[in-house]
Amino acid sequence: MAELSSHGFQVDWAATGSEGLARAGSGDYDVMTVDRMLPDVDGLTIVENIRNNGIKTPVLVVSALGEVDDRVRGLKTGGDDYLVKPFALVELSARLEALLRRPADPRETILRVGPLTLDLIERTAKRGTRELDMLPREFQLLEYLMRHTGQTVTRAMLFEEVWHYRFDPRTNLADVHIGRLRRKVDAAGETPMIQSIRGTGFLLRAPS
Amino acid sequence: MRLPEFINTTTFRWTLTISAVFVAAATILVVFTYQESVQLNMERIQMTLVQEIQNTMANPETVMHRLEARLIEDPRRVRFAALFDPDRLPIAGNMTSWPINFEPDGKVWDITAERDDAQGREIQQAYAVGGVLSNGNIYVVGRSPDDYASWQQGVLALLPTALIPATLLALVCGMILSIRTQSRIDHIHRTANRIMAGHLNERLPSRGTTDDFDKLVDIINNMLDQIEHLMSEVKGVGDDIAHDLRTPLTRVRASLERGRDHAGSLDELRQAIDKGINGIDQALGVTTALLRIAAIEHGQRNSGFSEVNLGGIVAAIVELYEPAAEDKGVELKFKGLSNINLRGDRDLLFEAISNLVDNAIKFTPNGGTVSIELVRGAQGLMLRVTDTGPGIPVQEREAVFRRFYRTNKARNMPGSGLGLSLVAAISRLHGFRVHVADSREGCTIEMICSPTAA
Repeated sequence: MAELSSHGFQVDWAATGSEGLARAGSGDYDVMTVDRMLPDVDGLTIVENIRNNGIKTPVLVVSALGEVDDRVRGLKTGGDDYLVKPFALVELSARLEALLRRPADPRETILRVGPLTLDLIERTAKRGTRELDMLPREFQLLEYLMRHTGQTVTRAMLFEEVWHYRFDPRTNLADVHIGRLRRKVDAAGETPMIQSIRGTGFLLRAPS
Repeated sequence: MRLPEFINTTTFRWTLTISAVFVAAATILVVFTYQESVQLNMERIQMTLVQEIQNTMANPETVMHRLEARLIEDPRRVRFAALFDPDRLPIAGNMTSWPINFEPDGKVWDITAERDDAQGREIQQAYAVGGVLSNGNIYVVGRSPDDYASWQQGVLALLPTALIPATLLALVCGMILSIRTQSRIDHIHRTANRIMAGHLNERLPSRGTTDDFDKLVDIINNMLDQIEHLMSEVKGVGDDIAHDLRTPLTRVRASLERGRDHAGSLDELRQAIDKGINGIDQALGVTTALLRIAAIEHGQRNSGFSEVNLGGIVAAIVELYEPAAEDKGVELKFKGLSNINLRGDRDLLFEAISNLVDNAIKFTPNGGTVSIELVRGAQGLMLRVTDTGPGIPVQEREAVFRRFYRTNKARNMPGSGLGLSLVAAISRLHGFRVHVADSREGCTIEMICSPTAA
């Protein structure tokens, strides 16, 4: 809670499932996290109830049950993301932030962040007037970062959302890919837009 | 009173049962033989009597001679012979009067008669046959079966006297066998107790024969071998877990301690804490990997199976690792089939193959090559990852798939020693076989991906 508060969240918490359900019903929240293992009821039952009551608040399901089945069930029931314990707190806050700021309009065909323009139909990218020559995967990476401008994106989130594999590489694979992207986006002399955040992930920001 | 222990043994009970069956069989045999012989004797007696009368009728003049001959030499006092006048009054012989219920018709009659001879009078049961001579006199012969009756009683009385020692003999045999069995069981019991007390290297005593006991002992000993092997493996893994957790935790502790005592600024304190977090992440990584291997080995995940394109997965892995390989100066090559569908868990296969590729890149020096091939060979569909690194010595090729096993060359590299165990577990889940193949240089790992051998 303290960690989330320090990230600028305003946090309420409920110790039991029924209490959580009652609070969720009030509908005053922007995002919720639900643990699978609650003292009185499975967290997924709560998610189900919330969705049945027509509440659309994004839910992050947190669980020690990390097998594929559990994940799929978690997401099918109406969870928006699923995080397996143990996790780093930055991972939790990064994912909550991503849920809070789901891309406003996914139908947008041209993304803009500062001088950066991404044409999703033409598959072209420009920084200012400079054309960026990119491989398909680099394009996808940049698209994901641009849709989450100003948010910390963790390595695990990149693998899940860009590569679509649940994967926890022991090596610095994501960094290598981001490194290549960065060399293309941030040319010598330009203000760097892609930042690495120590121990957490990456951040794309418009130069101020 | 406490019964001797051997009485409770199976062998002894079997012996008792067999003895009882034996006694019953012997009794039935004796009784049957006895009855048959009684029957036979009675028939022979009756036939002799009928024959005697017929012979006499044929030669009536010999009657007095025959009568006397019959009465001489009758030490057992069982013969009757008498001549009666037509009024059925005795003329000669050893019968005092005409028997009741008797007719001289040449057939056998059952009579009660009083004999009168040199030793006195006596009433006896007898078979008798009579015939009327031409002069009207009646010749009667008889035979008492009394002597046979006493012989028969003798035989019956003999039965128990013969059976008792036989039964005793059986009991003694049973006792000896039971005590021998008991002593072997006691021996096994004592050894088993020692094994249970922790002496897992002990084995049950075998005499090296092929008898039932030795067969059983061999089976149990083989089982013990297997248990000992598993125990040592578990123990080894336990030690390894403890060691692999202790190393990062020790570093965490040292780092935090240094931070607390010596950090001069907030930044230095942060650095110390970051080191600590890294160490804890490493420890968590070990436990997570172990739990995942355990979960995969228990097959909890095969419900996540679906039709997946192995070629696509391999291509994605190549694409994912290409930049990292390039940075390291390692060439990453892929050739072979690109469209291979099989049933499996997409994420797990991705993880297993990426582990192999990750390892290959890690161990290949600058300027080397890592090649991935997906081919259909004699053994079926095969994924082969070859590198030009230091390779794995022949004697370690099986061990590398064990948990926490790290070759000497790998010891200085980052890693948990669990990567290949995970690969092995995922392969087993899919029914694949994975092994280190012979190669002239570097290391070749083959994963044979044909659950149903093609």
